[in-house]
Amino acid sequence: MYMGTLMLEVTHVSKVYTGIPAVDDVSFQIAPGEIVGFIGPNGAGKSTTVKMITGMVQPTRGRVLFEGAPILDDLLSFRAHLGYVPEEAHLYPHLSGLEHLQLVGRLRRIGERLLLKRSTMLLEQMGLDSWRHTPISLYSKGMKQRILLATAILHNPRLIILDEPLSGLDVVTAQIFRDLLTELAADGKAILYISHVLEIVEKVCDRVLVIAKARLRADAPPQALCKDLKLPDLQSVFAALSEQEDTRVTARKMVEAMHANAV
Amino acid sequence: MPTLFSPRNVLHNRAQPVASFLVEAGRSRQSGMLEHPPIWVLVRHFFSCFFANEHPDSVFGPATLALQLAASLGVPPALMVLCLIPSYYGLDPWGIPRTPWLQAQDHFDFITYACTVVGMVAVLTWERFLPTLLEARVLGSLPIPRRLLFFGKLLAMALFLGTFLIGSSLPAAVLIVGFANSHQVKRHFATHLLALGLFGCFTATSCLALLSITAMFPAGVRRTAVPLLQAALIACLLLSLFFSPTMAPSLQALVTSHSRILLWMPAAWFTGIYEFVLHTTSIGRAFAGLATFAIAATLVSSAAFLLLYPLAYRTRAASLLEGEGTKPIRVHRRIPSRSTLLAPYLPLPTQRAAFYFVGQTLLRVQHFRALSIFASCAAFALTATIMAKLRIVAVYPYLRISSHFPVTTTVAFCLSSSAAFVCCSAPTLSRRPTGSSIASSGAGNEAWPAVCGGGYFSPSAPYWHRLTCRSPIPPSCPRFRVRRVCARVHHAPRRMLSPHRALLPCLPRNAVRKFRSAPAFHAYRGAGLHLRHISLEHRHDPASRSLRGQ
Repeated sequence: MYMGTLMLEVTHVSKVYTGIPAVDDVSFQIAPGEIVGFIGPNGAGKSTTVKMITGMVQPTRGRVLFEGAPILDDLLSFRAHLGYVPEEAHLYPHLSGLEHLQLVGRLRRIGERLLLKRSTMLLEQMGLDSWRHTPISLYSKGMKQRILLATAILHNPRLIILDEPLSGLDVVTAQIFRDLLTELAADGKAILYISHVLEIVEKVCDRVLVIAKARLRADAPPQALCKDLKLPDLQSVFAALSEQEDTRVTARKMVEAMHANAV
Repeated sequence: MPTLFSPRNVLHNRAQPVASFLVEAGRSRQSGMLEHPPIWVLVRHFFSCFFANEHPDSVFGPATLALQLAASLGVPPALMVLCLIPSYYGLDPWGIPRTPWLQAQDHFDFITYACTVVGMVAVLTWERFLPTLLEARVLGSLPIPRRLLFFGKLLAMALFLGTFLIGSSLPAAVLIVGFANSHQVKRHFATHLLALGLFGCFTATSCLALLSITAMFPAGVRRTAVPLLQAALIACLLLSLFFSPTMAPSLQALVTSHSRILLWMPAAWFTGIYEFVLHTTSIGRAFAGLATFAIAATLVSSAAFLLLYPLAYRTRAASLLEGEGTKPIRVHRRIPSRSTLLAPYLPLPTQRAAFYFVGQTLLRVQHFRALSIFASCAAFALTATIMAKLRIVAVYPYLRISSHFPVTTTVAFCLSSSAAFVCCSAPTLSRRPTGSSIASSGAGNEAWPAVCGGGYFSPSAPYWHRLTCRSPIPPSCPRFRVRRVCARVHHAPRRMLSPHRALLPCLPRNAVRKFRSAPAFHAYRGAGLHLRHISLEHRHDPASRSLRGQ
């Protein structure tokens, strides 16, 4: 049990859209230096939870605390310490990689010299040095993802939220990224890691949060989850907790639907 | 901040006294790194987003594109000024300098043109004036106050529209001031910019205020309402532009008779400001009422915009982040009605496929929708203008040849515009509709003159038309003046301003009855009768009768 000041506390947070609960009474904490995995089926409420944590959407009930203070009390200073990689590669297509980093850096009020130095170094490390002046519209999905990662850590944040950061990355870059996560955690950053790649979550994360049908079903280290539920791996745990139908049955039904006659 | 060629740089004793230009440029750049405030960064960013073009072979930056577009839009009125020079100096065949009332007609044309440009740009770029998904996702998680984002967008909008307003009017302003009134250069220039600035403000704010209302509708209604409103606004703007050469000669008669028709002509209000500030004589006093009305209208439209736009901005920002409430679509009611409608008109499956392709794919893309709106409204406005003008031809034979000008120039514009769509470096409004890549980077350079050519020909068509429509009788001759006023005012409302007479036979009887009983029709008809009343007054005027030889 962590005894110091928690970096992030989500307490009884709920969000209701037109009468339908997208997130229902979710609570968890993240300590500095901790990597917490956040997994769940599509539409379970992961992205809504992340939007509430980043302050983009206000919760219907509950609150989010950053270092003990509600984030909505001083949203701007909270965002100054937040690094966020969104689920989709939302980047201005007419800007180049360097221009995008400079735009974000300037709006974060990073000094010009420091910004240029950090941008150059990050682009070099991400293997995008020769693409720095090319418009982002020409980048591959993996390259866009690397730009998003560089943008998220450009200002040396204390809390990092990564929503599917590995999508589109090649094997080597994915490996670099996993090592980067470990390094960042060792540097005292709190990391919320959302992914559908359960093998990596199992290897990298200290704790795993499982959300299904808008409610949090589990909050424990991956090994402890497997042990408690007496299941061999995290994938089985995920299937059990999210009350998923047998995948083979689902596949068979899809094939039957494909062959169904019009009448 | 020391720059490359500043004395401080040149005289400074360096460790390497001789360095290449590249090294020097690098030094000056490093030493000159300024930290701009976030609002400046945001305004620059939003401004560049209005010209955003993700095509890889785009070589021009937003500032260059803005200047090119603005400069090409400024050419038609500048050409008009150049054509008017002989008239201003009394060098035309009649040897009489252009009178203040004729100058007022020119001013009427200038401000109509510039404000049509600004209005159309505002209407077609409307979707970009609201928060976009990228803004919500990229800038929404940054430590920027929402207020700052809003004001950044507002300033960028003002800068964007101001660029077009100044670009489309500055060349003409410089030329007209230089040629028309050499002893009042500063006053004339300031007046020109004041009238145009206020009219631009009125046009842009009134269009955007109307469009802001639609942003508060539910998504389904908005998708239908926005294109319709855009189409209506563009049609109004184009009609005012196309009719301005026809209406301008009636300005004197309308102003001196205090006609109520002027209350339906915004260009006349702002011509009022122009003449009121420029002239201290009786002409200025005649326009005083219109000038007051123009200022009041600008204040009202600005207030409406400042009230409605923040609401629209907020609604859109919230819907981007939280989504919009979805309602179940009544599929079973829609499909039979559509198929019933389509069956007689589109019997073949390929025809129906084409219909659905256009309706469900092309018209749902904002860029294509903007293009189709523009094309259909231009066609409508042009048809209305040509219909009106061709009816005049029967009465005034000397207009016959020149009425071909709008037709030919518009065809030229359409052709050159189609060439413009292959311009990779063109901004969003004129980007090519096919997504295919163009290998040669020179395509943009080839298309650019075509765009300019189209830009020169099409908006200047009414001016050419007007210049060539002149009667051989000198304009300042009293006989001509009276005949002209009577002819314009008496015949024009019946023949030119009565397109319903041409349209009504085509409509079913019920529609005609409804049309005739509508309040708008009564107002319209009342305005026409009012004009006829003026014409009758002129007719029975003894001086006019003696001049007509009666």
